[in-house]
Amino acid sequence: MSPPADDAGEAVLAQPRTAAGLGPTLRGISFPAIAITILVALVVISVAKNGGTETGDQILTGLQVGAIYALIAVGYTMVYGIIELINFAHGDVFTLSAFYAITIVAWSDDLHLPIDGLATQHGVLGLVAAIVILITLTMIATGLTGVAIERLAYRRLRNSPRLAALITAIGMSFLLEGIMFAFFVPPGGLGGSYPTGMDSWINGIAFTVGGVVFDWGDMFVIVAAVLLMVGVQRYIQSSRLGKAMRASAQDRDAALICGININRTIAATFFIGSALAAAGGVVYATHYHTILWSQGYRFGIVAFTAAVLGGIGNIVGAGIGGFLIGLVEVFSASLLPNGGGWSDAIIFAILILILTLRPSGLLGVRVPDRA
Amino acid sequence: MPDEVTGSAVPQDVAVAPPDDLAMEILGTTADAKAEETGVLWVIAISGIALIVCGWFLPWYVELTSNGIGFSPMDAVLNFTGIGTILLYVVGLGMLSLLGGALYDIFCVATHRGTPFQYARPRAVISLCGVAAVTAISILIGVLHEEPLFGNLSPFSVTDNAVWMTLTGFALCAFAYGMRGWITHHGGIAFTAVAFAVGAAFPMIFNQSADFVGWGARFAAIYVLLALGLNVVVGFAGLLDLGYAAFFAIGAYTTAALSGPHYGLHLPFWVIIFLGAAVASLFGAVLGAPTLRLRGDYLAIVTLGFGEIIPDLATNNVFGATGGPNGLQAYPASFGGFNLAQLGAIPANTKFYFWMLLVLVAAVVIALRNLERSRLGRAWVAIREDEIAAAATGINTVSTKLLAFAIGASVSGFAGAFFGAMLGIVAPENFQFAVSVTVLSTVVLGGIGNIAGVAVGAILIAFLINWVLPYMTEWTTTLSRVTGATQLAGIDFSRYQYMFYGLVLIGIMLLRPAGLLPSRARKVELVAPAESETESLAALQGKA
Amino acid sequence: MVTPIKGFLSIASIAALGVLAACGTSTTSGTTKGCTGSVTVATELPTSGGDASDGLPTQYGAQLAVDQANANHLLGGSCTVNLITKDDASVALGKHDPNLGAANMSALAANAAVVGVVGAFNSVVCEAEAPIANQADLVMISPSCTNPGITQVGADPTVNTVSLRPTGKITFFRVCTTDTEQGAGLAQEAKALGAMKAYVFDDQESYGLGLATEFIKDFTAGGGTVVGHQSLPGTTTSFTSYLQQAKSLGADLIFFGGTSSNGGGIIRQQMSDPTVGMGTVNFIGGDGISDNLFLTQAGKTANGVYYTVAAPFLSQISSAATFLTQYRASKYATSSNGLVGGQVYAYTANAYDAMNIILKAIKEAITANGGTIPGNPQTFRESVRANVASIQYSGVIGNTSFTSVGDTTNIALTLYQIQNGAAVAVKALSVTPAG
Repeated sequence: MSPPADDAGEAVLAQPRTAAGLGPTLRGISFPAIAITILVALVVISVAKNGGTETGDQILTGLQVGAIYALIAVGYTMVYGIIELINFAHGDVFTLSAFYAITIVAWSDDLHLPIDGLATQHGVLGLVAAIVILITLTMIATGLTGVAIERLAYRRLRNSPRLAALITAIGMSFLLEGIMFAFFVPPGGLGGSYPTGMDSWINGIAFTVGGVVFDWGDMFVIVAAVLLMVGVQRYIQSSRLGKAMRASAQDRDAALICGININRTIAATFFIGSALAAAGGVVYATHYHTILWSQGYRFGIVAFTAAVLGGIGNIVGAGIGGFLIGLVEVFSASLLPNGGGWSDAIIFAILILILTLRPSGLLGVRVPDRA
Repeated sequence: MPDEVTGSAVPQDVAVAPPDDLAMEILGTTADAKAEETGVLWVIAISGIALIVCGWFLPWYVELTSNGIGFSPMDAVLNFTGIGTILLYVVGLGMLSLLGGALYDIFCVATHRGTPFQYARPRAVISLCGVAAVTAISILIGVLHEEPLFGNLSPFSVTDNAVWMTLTGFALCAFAYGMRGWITHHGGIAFTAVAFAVGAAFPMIFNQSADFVGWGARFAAIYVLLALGLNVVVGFAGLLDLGYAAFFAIGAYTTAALSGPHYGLHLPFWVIIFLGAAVASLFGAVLGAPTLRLRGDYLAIVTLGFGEIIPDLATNNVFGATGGPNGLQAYPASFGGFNLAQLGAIPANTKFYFWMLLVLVAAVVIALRNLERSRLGRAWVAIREDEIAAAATGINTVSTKLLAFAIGASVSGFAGAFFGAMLGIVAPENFQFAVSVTVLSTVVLGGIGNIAGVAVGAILIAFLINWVLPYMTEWTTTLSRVTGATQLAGIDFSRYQYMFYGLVLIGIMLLRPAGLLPSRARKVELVAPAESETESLAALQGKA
Repeated sequence: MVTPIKGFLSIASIAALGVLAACGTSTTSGTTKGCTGSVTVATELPTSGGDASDGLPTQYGAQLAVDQANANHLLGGSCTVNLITKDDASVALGKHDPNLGAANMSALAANAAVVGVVGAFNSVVCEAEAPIANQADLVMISPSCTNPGITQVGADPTVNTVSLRPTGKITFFRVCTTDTEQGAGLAQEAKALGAMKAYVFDDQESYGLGLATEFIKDFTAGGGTVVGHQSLPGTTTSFTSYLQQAKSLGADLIFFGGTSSNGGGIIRQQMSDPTVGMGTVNFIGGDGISDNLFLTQAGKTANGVYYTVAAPFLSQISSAATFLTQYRASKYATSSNGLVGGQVYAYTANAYDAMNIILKAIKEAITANGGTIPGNPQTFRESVRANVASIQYSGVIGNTSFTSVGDTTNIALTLYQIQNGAAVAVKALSVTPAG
């Protein structure tokens, strides 16, 4: 049983725990277990109301939608853990990465090394290669963008009041949206949706189980997201850089004393966080037909909610929070009349409820009650 | 640097141990004669200079219109008509002597020779005379209608406005320069006095621009109210609120429901304002309740949640009360039968609204100032600095926080009531998260915790959003026509306005992270950043 | 002329700019003597942000009308027409902003030279602006505000129609039909397609929700059932779960009330998602999806979609073909903002006719004044207004005249279907105005 100091220290960028030890409990019942129970109840109600097939479909859609939220949420939580900043520009970095992906594909065409040709005309192997190449290039480009943003806008404000950095992040969000609005003009005219041109790459049905259709597109989104998040989590746990990140998040001055280069560590954090958002962007572009310059805004808010839900600073929590919110969004639509119109309100209502009962989120370390 | 005009607040001969500087700074009193707030001075000075520049350049910029050829500042000075022109000469002389004095001071400081800032008393006298002259001219023309004294200078044509702007600018510069010492020591009072004097004269200065007064200035006033209210929550009590537009919405919808066609109630305007504020403050307490146990960013996210839920409820026409996406129509109040628009001049309706808003802002400022210095204000400071210690000293944190929310919400309830009445329609569009973000930006930009600061921030951003950005294209077109630089003509700024706005926000925060007019308390905190507020979970855990 | 005093050069702050603009906006152009001058008209539309794809093409229609009027010397002599374009999308909201719309209308009203405005686009902005224009006796023709409550007393319980025209005169007109007629037409067509169970989407905005509400009312009155109704915010990107629900409820028609900028085409596209499997189900919408954006969003799946446009069969009106040719040849078509596979965006044509109506009214006023521009701005505005109220105009969208409350009498509806990526007019619908 690890001593409390270890608990406190490891809460930020937390280690994965076994099911039995998943966070402190509320009167003996594990809080995550409560959440699972609620989910199961929702599923049961849905099956009763709409039937098993549709419920299965809904779950798949919810996981797919949630996967993208999860990818963005992890980036949010990593940055927050290390510099305690709600990076409002993160959602727009996600949208920007989709535009990067579109541009990279277009440039590859110009250079006569067409990625989309590789994806569509060379079978499964070509498709995999194309996606790997595209994701890698986009992740690098977006990661560098994230590092640049940190260097230019946030670094100088590290010792300033936190609200100053927050407003700068908001300003950066406007700036990114403005750049996308003004410079990525879609063929339909200014301000419209931009066709990604990639959604025909992955198509077809993988298999059907009991009437529930599993198509390659959905599965790709979910699997890619889970793999990436698990990969990042392991990297943080086992690598030197990861250790440096955890140390800087826990106590910046002590880390400095230990010889860790804080600037580089923070830059690396931004790189990884933005790269994850980029993965989300590419995954989004291959699954949806169009992308809109102002989309990042809502994705950002929802992803931040997911991060807080899971316990801010906790990567696994952010991932789980993302999937949870995706499921809530989908189920609220199917279980309530005009649920779609209420889904945002419901997501936030659930968030408020959970934070009222458990102020540190699902997987966050419980803070002893203070007056 | 002894300054004869001002004295320190504490008598020099009191034989008592000087109180702890830090504590005094935080609590908002000062024992230090040298404590200076140059921020307000700069704001007044820059505004004055800007007005003078605009006034001089205006006739050159504007095409002479069908409203008649008015007077430019040059014309006014050169056409001798007797007493009036003498008064104008006094003003002109005053301007020149101020310029001379300012140049002399700059010369001294730059070359480290001579003693600048001399002759404080004569300077103050000259400047006050100048201000008095300007006031006299304004009253003579604006109130007593003695235009012939000045060669038919009137408040009714565009270029006459140039004269008013120049005069006002001179008055501000004179005031700033002559009373420099007093302003730096009584920044709040100085700013308030100037702001309300200029504000009250606004409709006269800009008589030809009904839309500037009607929409630019009135919306700036609404933003100021919102900023003042949010300042209570974020600045005084230190609770990060990301969903402030929710209370704004509640105030506005209450007004609309009580005055519009939906329920057919038609209560008088005065009653509606207070009801709107009361309902908003009730919701403030209700929505603040879940946040009591939360810290820092968790609190922020819950308030953000409410900020999203409320417009969502409104859009979905919850309880059939909010009219859905169409919104509700609010009954615009008319005052005493004045309901007609004269082409080009400001409708009396608009003027009354504007002055009422000014009065309301004044009342709110006074109330908040007193609140800041009361026991409740000090309790807020205590909670902001260290909640556990505050609780240990017996402060009821629950009621203190709830009061912060309630009072902040009531101010925005007032704003919402006016907003509904001004616009005539209350729609969910106007209460989205983007509005909460904008109000927060004004508070941070202006200086958290500083009443004058957030007012300046609100005015700046309101004008930026409602005035500068929408008109950029028109200005560059006119500028290109006037200067002959044809490249300027084709730029369509509405395409780039998001980028521009983002750059402005980032730029200001990078240059002045504490805000334009930081409060004294924040300045102190900046000096010792290690002990400053870090309400995030990680920090708390580290210190647990 | 005045020469600026050089010694006073200093850095102007934002306040300075604001003040500068304040006086700058009072600029009017032209003198009042003789027809050797100009008249000024304006557009007030959301041309940036999230509504740019709706507002810009609309503005182009009005701009083309002004260009043509100047080229053809419509007003006689050497009189020209000036156009002021205003944008009511604010940076704060990222889309149409009733505040900014009201400020713009106030600026236009205060500008003595402006005698007519084409605008606004969104019903909430129309409602905010109408009283201001009314008090200044400034005529305002909207190409797209469809909330019936703006003109008809009692049509919308949340709108106090009378307070939108405080002087009692009618200054607000519209060339588009209201939701009432279009909803009825759509329901009629839905029945004709054989649909019995409709699943309805709307975009939570005034136009979309109004249209959807009317459709539901008429569809159920005609014997159909509405199996589901979702009001989704414009930011929604994933509709698959709703479509899956629709499928399991046996919907044989998907109805979309709203504009493409709020996702109409995305819904259509996702109907063909393998997990949804509704690619062969009918999709029907209003003129909010009659644009290029819908084609972009829906891609290949756009084929087979039906929508109505509040204009008669354009091929039966020769001036429509001419207009199309002229529009294509103009600088506005190059950005492809206004063309739908050769067919002009519905609101472009509406704005074109609206602006031409104003110009015709101005021309009549000038003629009545003996061939010169009237000197008194107030009488000029009033005569333009009176002329608009009594006008009979034959244009691209048909024969327009206005009822006593400002609605258009031209309520013909045309049904279009997208075939092979292009919009094809199928038939004219006749709807009895149920009010």
